[in-house]
Amino acid sequence: MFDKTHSVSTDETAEQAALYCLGDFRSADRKSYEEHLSSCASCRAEVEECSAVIAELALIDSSDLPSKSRTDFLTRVRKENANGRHWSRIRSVIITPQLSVRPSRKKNHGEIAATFDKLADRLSGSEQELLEALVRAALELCDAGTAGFSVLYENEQVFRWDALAGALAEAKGGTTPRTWSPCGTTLDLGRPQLFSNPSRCFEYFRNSAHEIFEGLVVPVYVGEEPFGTLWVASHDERTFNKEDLQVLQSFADFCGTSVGIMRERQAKQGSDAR
Amino acid sequence: MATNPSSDSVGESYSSQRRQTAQQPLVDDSELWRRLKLGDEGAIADLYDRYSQLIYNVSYHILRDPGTSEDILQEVLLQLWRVPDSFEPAKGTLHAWLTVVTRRRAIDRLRRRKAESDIADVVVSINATQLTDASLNQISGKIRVLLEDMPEKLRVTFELAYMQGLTHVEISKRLGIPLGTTKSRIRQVLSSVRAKLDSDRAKTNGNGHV
Repeated sequence: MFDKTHSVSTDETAEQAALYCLGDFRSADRKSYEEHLSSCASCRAEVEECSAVIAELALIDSSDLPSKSRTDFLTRVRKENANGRHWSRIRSVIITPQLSVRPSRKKNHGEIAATFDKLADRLSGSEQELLEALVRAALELCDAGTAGFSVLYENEQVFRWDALAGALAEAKGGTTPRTWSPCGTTLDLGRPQLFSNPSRCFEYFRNSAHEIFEGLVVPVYVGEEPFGTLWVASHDERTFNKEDLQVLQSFADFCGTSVGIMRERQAKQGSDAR
Repeated sequence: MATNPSSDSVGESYSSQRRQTAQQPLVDDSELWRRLKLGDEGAIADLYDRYSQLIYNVSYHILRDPGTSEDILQEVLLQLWRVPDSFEPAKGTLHAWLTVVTRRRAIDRLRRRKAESDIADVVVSINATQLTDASLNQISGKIRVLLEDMPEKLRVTFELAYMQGLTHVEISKRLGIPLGTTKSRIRQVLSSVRAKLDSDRAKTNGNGHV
């Protein structure tokens, strides 16, 4: 979509920069545009100008930041370091930026569209059926070793592998800690993450029947609340790329919306029954 | 300028920010980012001092909620602290990255808060004139002054795109205009705002405020 570099600004490049800065682009277009920025100085300059306007507007109509905010923030930073979150260790296994530099592998769009048709059929079923259909589709379309859906159980502070397909399918029902896991890290960061040999950091993966070479994890929200994560893992030299991320992100978006619709429908049925 | 105190105040405020920026960079962002990668807590404190007000306000303009805007501020800077490589210098400056990431997070929060129904469905039922009157009342003084000479169609587009974070597809649906027209208006409105800011700044500088 944003393949060629531009020698001069045009109305079209100015529009693209404006939409990007205003937060208009969907995830896949945004990633593609950001990749384009690294090679197009003209569009980088457009983005600088647009973002500067947004920043100036924000500062013109300035609202006072609560005075405790700085102390709260720095206390949180120190606490995270002190209580063993060990972000330096986590950072050592995150390789997300590599997604944007790896060569593309064209996806079969017909196959993806057909998959969504099948998934749409699941909307009349249960959440569990939907999750299982999603991980099977993710496994296939990302050519992964394992695909899983980890549902967040906030009260217990764990993720449970409620749906699994592939090599680790027998581990269904297993849990990982909210505060020390690739899934928790992904929710903390609020965006997809790519992990390399995560067992180097998250020791409990060393007991796994199949070593994880790479794990690509995408957060899933229902309304404003985090619901869990959808992920794929490889157990050999298979590496994931941005097309895999696009597939996974579209499944995650679909899942969040679908579960929201299912829950609304259930709530309505419940109130109708009363 | 003396006959239009409101315009003056736009220039004052902007110029004041520019003065701060001009005095600020004893250490540049790339050096702070390099230190951040080494886990230097002092670097994140410096970045907080440099960008917290910007991040908070970008978020506040969309959410109009101090608590959630503060959450977004913490999320954005913690993301940078935890994974400094989230920011990639080859794609632009840290200032631009923080502005864009903050806006996106604030819009995501707004959408999740209201679920799609409030944003897409309710919105369609309001006509453009009602929207203009209502929305201009929501826009506080200084920005309102900035928009006062702008054609109404651009003001409406500004409100929907900038203040409410609607996409060009949603704006087109809401106003019943083609996608290309919406994109063109978004470009024009940002360009007009930029020109107005530049003009205010030039007037202020001409008055010897800086």
